[in-house]
Amino acid sequence: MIIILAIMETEGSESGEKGAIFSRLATEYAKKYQGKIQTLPKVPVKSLNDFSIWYTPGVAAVSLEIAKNEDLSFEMTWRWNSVGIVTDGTRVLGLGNIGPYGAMPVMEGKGLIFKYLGGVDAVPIPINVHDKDEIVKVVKAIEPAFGGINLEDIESPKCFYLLEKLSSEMNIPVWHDDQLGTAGATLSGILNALKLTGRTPEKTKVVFFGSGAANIATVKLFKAAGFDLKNIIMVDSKGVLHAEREDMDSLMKNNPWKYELGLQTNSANIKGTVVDALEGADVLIAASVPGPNTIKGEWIRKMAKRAIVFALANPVPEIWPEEAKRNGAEIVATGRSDFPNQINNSMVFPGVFRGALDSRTRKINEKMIVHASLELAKFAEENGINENYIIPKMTEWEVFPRVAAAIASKAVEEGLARKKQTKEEFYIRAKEIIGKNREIIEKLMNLGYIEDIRR
Amino acid sequence: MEIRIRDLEENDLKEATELVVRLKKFNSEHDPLFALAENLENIVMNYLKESITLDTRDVLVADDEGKIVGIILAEIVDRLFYEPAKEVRITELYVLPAYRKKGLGKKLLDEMVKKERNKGCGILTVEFPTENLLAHKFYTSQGMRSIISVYGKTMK
Repeated sequence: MIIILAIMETEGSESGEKGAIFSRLATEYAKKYQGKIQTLPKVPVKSLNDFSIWYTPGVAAVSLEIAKNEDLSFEMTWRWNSVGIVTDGTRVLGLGNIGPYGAMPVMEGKGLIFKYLGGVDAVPIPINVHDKDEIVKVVKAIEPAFGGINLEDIESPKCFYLLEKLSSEMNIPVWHDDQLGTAGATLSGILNALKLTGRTPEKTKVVFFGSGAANIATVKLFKAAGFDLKNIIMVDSKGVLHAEREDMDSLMKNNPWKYELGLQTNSANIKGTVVDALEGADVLIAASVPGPNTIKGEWIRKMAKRAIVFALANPVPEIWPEEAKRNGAEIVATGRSDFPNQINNSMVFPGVFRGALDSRTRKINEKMIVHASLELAKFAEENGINENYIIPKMTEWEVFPRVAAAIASKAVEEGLARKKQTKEEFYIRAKEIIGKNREIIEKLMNLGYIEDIRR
Repeated sequence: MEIRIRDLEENDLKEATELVVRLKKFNSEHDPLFALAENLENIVMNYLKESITLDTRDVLVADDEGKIVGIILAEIVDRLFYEPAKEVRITELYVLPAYRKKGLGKKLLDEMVKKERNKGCGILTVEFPTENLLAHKFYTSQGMRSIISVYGKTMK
């Protein structure tokens, strides 16, 4: 017991120290760089006369053409490659409702990842509007500017309403990364973990600990991937979710998404706490509150042999991987890059949007996301999966064009794509765009236009 | 598996009370003027018990092989100034979540209407919190419309 405590303390203080260092550096660099992204021209400007082409009077002809046929905006402007990152700042990271101004640095960071890993021009749009139908109006109003919308850091259950409503009413893909990105990454990790432990989706018993946006979306995606909702149990701060739980009527009114899952999951009608739910479970997926003691080692011991534990809270997982393994978990994943098996949205959304934009899909549906997760899992499998490698790492950038091609080709199959190419063609295009963007960024750094951090 | 609609019996009181308490709790979410009474369960149980013998109050339950999964409660109200002179007013209708969207609410309502028609009632009314949009949707789908408004405030 003493040893366990000692290890936990070391890990805990290490993570605390690292966190403090990152916080200090981020604040210092924010002041130095004053933002993380910018717009740059991509047409030659050799003399001021060139503006007669890029701007007035020449540009009027382009405007007229697009006015006659709006789809040409994808051919003749940057719309084909642009995404709006929209937030109302109501659930920023783990910070809660800090408002749209405070959300900006996070949206900029997202924009940076969009560009670097996906070659996408993403524009942060924190908005000072909080009513759900007002947000719908704002997002629909900016449709002419973008080829896609990424909703970010919006509180639950509002985020479910927004994603559903906007996806059905807009003609460009709408994505909520906190739901879909997390769900996609989790699914791909789980698929490989199941392979390693000799399981199949349809028979696997999964307990979801925490019933926020991420886990609700993940359960829905698991269903689309062939998991049986009857074998899934959701647990939240009030305990196990079941059809007769006292707050079900309240959920029906306030969170119908969770309510529906309360009806469809847990066919054994298990009641009680997470401990009751974990009895004999194969997989635990926690997206709840930061640990390290949110999940106790003894709970893991209740699980089936060769248990799989995903502890995804940030910055500190609900249980340290070592602790989970000591108590019988065979495969453990967290949200952190300093442990094996990082479950990270950033493995998903850059490729997803690359593919969505390249196919000019009208929507990103669940089948497409499952397909992307399968591709991610396959990429890792090709490199040789093991308990410490179930999902590709951020550094393996070749995976992003693969995800892009998976999304784009599935969009064609689903009849949602405006641009129809083969998977191979989509892959080549995505690889070229992502590669070129990385090269541009590297050149700018080499030339000193993106200043080195140490200077 | 056939769900049976039948009169409330003494044996059902515990389960039936639970369902009505759930409904009252749900009502309380819609307006602070529906703050729940202390001792709610006892009150509900006595109220339901009375109805077994009371002529002007009827309760039907949905019985799924011994488990009470739905309940409807109606009061018979005299209408002094209007015709028809007798009205059946639904004051509670609750179905457990797992049994919803299967037409059970409608079945309970239809059975109650049948029962009260025999007692000479000519119109059917229902009361529910104004903000309960789901109830609004259900009853309008049953051909009903808003016929009277009750406004309220706390007296200072």
